[in-house]
Amino acid sequence: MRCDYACRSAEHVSRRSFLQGSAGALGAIGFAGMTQLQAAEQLASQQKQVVVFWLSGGVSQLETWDPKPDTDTGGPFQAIPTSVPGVHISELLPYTAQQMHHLALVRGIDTKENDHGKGAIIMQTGHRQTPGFEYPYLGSAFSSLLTPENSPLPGYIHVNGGGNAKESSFLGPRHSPVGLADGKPPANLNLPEGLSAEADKKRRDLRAKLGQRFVTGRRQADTEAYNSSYDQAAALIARKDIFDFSQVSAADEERYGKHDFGRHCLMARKLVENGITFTKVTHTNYDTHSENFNFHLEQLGEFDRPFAAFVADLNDRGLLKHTLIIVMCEFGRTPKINQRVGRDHWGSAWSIALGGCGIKGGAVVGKTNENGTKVVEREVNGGHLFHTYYRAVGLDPTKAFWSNGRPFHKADPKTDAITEILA
Amino acid sequence: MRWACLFAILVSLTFAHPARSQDQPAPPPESLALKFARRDAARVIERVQKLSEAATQAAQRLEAANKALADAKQNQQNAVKALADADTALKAAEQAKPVAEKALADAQTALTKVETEMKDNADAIAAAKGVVETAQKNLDTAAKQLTEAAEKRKTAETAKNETDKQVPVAEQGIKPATEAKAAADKELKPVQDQLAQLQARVAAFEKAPPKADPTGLKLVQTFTHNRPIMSCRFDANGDFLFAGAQDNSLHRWDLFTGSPVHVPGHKSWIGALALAPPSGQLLLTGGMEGKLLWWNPLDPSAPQRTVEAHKGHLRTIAVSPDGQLIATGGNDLVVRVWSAVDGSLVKELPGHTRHIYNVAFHPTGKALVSGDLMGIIKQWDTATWTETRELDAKILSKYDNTFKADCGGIRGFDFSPDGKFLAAAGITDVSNAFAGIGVPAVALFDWESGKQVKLLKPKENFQGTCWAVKFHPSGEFLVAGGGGGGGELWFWKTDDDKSFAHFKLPNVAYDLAWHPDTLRLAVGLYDNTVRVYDLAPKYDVAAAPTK
Repeated sequence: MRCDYACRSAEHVSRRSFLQGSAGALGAIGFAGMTQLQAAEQLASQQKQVVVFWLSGGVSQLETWDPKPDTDTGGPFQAIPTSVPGVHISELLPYTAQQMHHLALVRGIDTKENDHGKGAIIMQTGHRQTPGFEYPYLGSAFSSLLTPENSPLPGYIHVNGGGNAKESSFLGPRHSPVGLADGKPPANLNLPEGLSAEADKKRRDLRAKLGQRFVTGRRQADTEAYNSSYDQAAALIARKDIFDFSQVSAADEERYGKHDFGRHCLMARKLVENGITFTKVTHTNYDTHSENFNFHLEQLGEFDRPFAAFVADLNDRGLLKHTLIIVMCEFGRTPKINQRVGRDHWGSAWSIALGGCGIKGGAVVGKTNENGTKVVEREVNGGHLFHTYYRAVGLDPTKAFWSNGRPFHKADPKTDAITEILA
Repeated sequence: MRWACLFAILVSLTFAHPARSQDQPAPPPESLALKFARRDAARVIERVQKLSEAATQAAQRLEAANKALADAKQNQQNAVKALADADTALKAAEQAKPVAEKALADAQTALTKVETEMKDNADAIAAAKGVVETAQKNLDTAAKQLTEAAEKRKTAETAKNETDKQVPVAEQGIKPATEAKAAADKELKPVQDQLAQLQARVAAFEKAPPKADPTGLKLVQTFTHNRPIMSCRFDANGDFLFAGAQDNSLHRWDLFTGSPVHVPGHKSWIGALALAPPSGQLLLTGGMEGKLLWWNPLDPSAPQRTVEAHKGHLRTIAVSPDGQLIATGGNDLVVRVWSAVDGSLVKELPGHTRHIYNVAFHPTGKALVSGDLMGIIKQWDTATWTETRELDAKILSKYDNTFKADCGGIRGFDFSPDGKFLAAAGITDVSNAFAGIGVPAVALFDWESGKQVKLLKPKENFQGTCWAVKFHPSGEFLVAGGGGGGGELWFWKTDDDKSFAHFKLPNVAYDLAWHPDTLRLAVGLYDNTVRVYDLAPKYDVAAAPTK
């Protein structure tokens, strides 16, 4: 993979530090990318972490966080009380309703964007799509800012999704997501049959020596990109235990469910426990242009219980206080029900939920009108959300990234944090 | 009187039968279409009579109002003349009194002169005294006449003022009486037209029993609500049309007057409607909150009974042919059977693993079928309540790998009247589950073998879902309705998988229902209307103007 960052840039320096740190920390063992469980646990206890639940396709805010029963747009579902007095959500989320005291709702989002791709960019970068430039995704940004300097672990893992190198933009491949497609561990974690660990080490050492010789007199950014790939692969192999999702207790299987999303939530829990900075779990699909209510019954029926179990488990394990959880998607869905008993794309008045680190549990900010067609109170967009995410994990969103000598705002400076939901 | 005679004539025309000789064969049983056509005509005749009486009374009231105004004006004129006459008389009396006073004064002067100049002439003095007496009498009379004239004038003035008030009062009565007559006439005219059409329909049906002809389908009535209509049923007497919409109320329209009734009762959308045979005196609604409600269709002012039937959506209701049992199904994966008499639970039938979309009783009442999201149809024996068979309609269901969800299912269910076929409606050949891109289809099963014998599809290309299917009561064809970007009705014979007729609708159709006259079809649509279409050849039914 090509490297997008320049030599002698901060990312370049960081890259070297990573390599040196890794070499130092792993010197006793001799494998780049390997650390010990104790170090991971220490990392987990000190660093901030983030888990994003990406409800791909655009979940309906009317069937989740901002129900409008008994109106022309409300559909057939009712609103139910939650563990927060006065706060109601859709009846399709009965288990999540019991965790609302850990979660906050933002009900006044207006991104004015109804396109899947562009909406995803706004929600995952905090900025509108910019011609000729790509802002890093939230996962890559937080991977670069929150992952401890010497951590050999990938900073960003995408459960049930691919590893898209473009997400890291100028932050470099180190912060691209490692994709666990279909929730399976990365391929080739185990050495091929017939190749011993000693032989593999000799291969690696030879490759490193050849790589060092190749670097001399050549553009380092490109070569470091290749080295990064090998080092990251080695790190993953050395810590393949964190990708061993086979050991699931019967109790957990019962609570999370035996379906894919249940397993993915359990994976996410394990990744948080093992110090992964940023985990994105994709649940698909919510693009319900037809039969919105039947499909949301099915999809949220799958989402609700394991998500609630995940929140509860993180809290019980003392992890919630330093783990920011975000449930989001590219846009909401139209209040008007169409001919196919579906709802279409709607970026104008919709909601997300978030909780955990830095977030005031039980808070609700923003309001839509009686039938959800318009934000009437505290309208926010992707910029506000990104300010909020950064502040929640203790980072300053007003500071910029630098690439090729140019500053790039972490969050849109025309907006600011939604302080009403910050703890 | 005039209208009573007309009524008698019309009744005799409607119900008269030609005389038969003993040699002529008995006429065939009266068809349902003719029966309802005669009943409708008789019903409309009653309406015509009532409206005619009302129109007559309105005309009479207008006539009375006009007369009252004319009388008031006449009275006013008379009062004006009387006042003028009294003024004249008063003036004359006023003029006469001073004359009489002068005459008295002259007579008294003359007397004094005579008494002075002719004091020895007793006759002269007596004569002069007599003149004075006469003059005094005349003065008294003139004074009295003046008083009387003044009183008369006052009375005449009072009377005139009274008549002045009465004229505007009478005028005020003209406008409402005029409007009432116009309204009565306006209400009467279309009903008279309706009657004429119905009578023509009766005459035509008497000549030749009609057959429903899908190729001649015509819109005859539109009832408009403010939410999409999800379900519709006629009552057994063909008087009312019931509907459930994307709201929490039961809706009913009178087919003759168009009058609507909207009654809340559920906490969510009504997903299912059913009327209990054979009397049709029980109406059932199922809500997506899981409740089953009993109603009196003639007076649906409030539910008569509420049963907590299912956890989650109650999606379907069917009533056994004898009207004794009610079957329901929904999201909690269990078919439940209830007593129609007291609402008690008779049986629970677990077995489905996904949401149950439709249930139906076989016309014999010996079997119940239930169909789910996966296209699985279970057959239950109604004597033992055991599952006896599973029919495969999985062609109407699909797991979409891109969107990771199952879509489709049994969206409509109907047995042929003779019980030989079961039709299951839905969507097939789905290329995009979440956009509903697929082909509307009806899987036709041979009941005896349980095998699918046909997959009925529209003849022309169409993308969408088939939401409802109904066999015609004759069993000669079946109709389905549905849509995607637009709506259509499709008609099939059971021996051909291509539709022989189709009809473009203004919008997507969600439900269908046959009128008991077997000629009219109600269609519930996304555009907030439930529309009644007539399949009678040539002669439309003309129901009341819709509201």
